[in-house]
Amino acid sequence: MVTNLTEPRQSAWHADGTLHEPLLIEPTGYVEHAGRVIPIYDSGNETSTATIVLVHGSSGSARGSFWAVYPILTFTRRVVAFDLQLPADDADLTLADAVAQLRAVVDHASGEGPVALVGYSFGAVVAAAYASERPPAVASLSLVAGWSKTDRYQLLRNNLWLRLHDADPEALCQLTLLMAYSAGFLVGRNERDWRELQQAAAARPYPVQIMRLNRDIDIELGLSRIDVPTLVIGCRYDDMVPLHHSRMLFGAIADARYLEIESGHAVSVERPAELAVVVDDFSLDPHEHPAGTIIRNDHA
Amino acid sequence: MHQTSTIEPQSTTTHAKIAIIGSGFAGLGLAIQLRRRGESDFIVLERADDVGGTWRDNTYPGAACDIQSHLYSFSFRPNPDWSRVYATQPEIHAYLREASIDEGVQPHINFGAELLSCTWQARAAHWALETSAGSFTADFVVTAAGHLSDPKLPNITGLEKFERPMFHSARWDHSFKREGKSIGVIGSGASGIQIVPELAKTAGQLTVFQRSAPYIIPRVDHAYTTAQKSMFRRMPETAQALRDELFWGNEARFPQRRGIADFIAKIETTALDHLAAQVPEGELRDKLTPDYMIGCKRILISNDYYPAFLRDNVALETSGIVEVRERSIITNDGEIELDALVLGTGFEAADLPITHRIFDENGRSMAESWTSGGAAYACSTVAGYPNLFIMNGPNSGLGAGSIIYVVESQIQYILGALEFMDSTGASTIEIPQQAQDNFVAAIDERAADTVWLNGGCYSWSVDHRYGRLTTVWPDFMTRFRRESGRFKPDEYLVDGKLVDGPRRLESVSV
Ligand SMILES: Cc1cc2nc3c(=O)[nH]c(=O)nc-3n(C[C@H](O)[C@H](O)[C@H](O)COP(=O)(O)OP(=O)(O)OC[C@H]3O[C@@H](n4cnc5c(N)ncnc54)[C@H](O)[C@@H]3O)c2cc1C
Repeated sequence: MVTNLTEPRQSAWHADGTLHEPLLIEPTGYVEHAGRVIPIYDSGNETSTATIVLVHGSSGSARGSFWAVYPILTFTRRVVAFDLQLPADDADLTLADAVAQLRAVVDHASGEGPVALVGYSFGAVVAAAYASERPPAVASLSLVAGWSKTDRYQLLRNNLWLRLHDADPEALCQLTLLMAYSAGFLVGRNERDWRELQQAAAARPYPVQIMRLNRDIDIELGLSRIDVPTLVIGCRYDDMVPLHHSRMLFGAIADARYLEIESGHAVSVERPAELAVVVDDFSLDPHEHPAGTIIRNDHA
Repeated sequence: MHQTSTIEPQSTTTHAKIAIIGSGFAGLGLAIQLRRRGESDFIVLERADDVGGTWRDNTYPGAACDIQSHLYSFSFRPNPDWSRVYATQPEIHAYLREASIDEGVQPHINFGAELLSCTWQARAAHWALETSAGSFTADFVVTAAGHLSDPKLPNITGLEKFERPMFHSARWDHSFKREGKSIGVIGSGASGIQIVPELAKTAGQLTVFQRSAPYIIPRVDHAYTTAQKSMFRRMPETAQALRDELFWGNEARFPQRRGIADFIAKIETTALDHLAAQVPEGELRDKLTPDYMIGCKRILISNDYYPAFLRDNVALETSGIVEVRERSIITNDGEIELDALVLGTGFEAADLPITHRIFDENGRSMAESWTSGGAAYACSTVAGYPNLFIMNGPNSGLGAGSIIYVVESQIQYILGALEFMDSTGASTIEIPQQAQDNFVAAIDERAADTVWLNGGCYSWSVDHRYGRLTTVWPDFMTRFRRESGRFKPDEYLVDGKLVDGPRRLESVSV
């Protein structure tokens, strides 16, 4: 199985030799749902292979979760991402609302055929919940650093997060860095990259509404209904959504295969190329590995 | 081991199942794997008198790798003792030499045997090889003659007139005493930027002739402590984890080559901030500021290149060379008298010299067969040249990553092909032109979106005769392995016939 190379490709270059703007900042369009407009980012290249739909995590935006992964995926296929819309006036976000928004986006993106759905972290929860409805517009499912039922360990962190969010933004930033990245990654950064990581964590605290919803996720019952080929990706040094969650997803979904990446929760920052390549390969040929396979990425 | 050279060879011709040309990382790696599989019917032909290729030849002051040593080494011979992140030439050369001895490869090598011609004998179904040390025949030939092994000299008027010491960076003249001398260095590429800080220390006057300023980013380098080395030795999985981390770190640089704005912005500011931190604003910094898109030429790493120009005895010359005279260089700005001239001008990368020495049954060279530049199926096999595999040939270089990953992918491919041939008992295998063209078209398509063809620079990665990217792989390294690292017989002519039905082999792992 090789990358399908006869597709029109997404080029970063304008005809005059200048580059496109950074991606996932300006929406390419909007999908309307229940009176709200959901910004979408559609790479627009035509593909005969499944379009990928990306569901972002607790960072609250497509760019926050996928700035590095989205462009890589567009090398081989059409990719659609979107920014989940949060209810006004700090009202609670519900999982049903998030799923409904995802459904609207998938309905839009699946004009050419069923899509390859990819959810990261909280987005994996949303994607799995949606997939358990057995939507015909979904061809395959990738769940990256996802979970199905919030446990005590996550609550402990979530409690701390909510308290610091109101009381001490600086400490909140440090908690986020501690939890999001693996120790090896943090230690290995040079001063410049370390400064950038700190700045990014301080500039974009996760939306409180998502963090509140994260407290009582329970989609376990639906997992057995998922009937599309699924790839579960766990992050070995994940302190936000520890590995046991991914292993449970692997156990719960009948047609699942499993792969671990050596990173913290922020796999899309620590190992963007590995994540993108793995997701791309799976989405192209979801049945390459039979259900139950533990896929081991080749050592370099 | 040396053969005497004869024209009428029949009686002195040595036959081997496999002949490997070259004993650098590629040739040695394949030889080691053949040995480990118990194959002993092979020879290695090496024009020099030692193994190591690049790392034997590049002995210039400051020579070191610029991909981390824990990645830039064989996965199947990990070395816990690398002294630092980026090992220097003597250490890498010693690593290769030791590997060749430990693995029992040395007895297979014919040193001083330069391949002069290699011609397919259709009737006998083997290759006839003429070398400076005699004649050989072989069922299979693997060229591992390097992609950066033949020095390229600059095309400058009067260069041959220079009567004082003059040498290429890969042919360093160690008898030359550089202290106090007035030295010129032509070129500011990967070798040039390693040489300059070293020469600057003791030269009387050093003049660097730059045509195009390179992008340079900080070199994150340090010595490994005894504790770290011991950890790597006692827990090999820690060295493997480091290797994997380095690998994926390099993979994550590839989107830069595709011009992805966020990746470009990050690497560009890294480079320009590095320059700004080391060179004050003004004419010097302007001259050192590149004028093309980052990544179009190799991004270099150095912490001591820029500072060298702040020394009184170092000058940067950018006005352009008009001609070389007996003892000086004439630039558009004047004349600079020199005691010695160092040519850091790179290698013959696009028009590979070895391909002018490989001939099909009608005597046409591989270079001639390439009417629009280097092209190979699976970056390994060429239509018209059966039973022959090229290592580090067309589209096998990298803009960001370790060539060893490519080399090991190719080893795997060749072993797979040889095993296939053994298992079928067939005697010839050849790729049809159409299959090769399709494969190459898919490469060209990807290349079209890369910085090498869009970034506004004159890159040696491009074959400028045809405007094609022929030397580097325009995708992730992982894709190289996926597409060219596992032999599949499906598209080949085996004994002149397409194999019926997809015949799959277990992949061979190295
Ligand atoms: C200074 C320098 C630094 C580099 N640093 C890196 C790095 O950090 N990372 C990286 O990935 N790559 C690096 N490279 C690229 C490097 O060339 C490759 O990584 C690798 O060493 C190539 O190995 P090879 O075996 O293919 O070729 P070589 O090492 O060039 O070996 C080819 C051998 O073939 C022999 N040969 C050639 N023609 C003939 C003939 N006609 N007959 C007989 N023998 C012949 C040569 O004598 C030589 O021994 C560097 C290159 C240079 C020059």
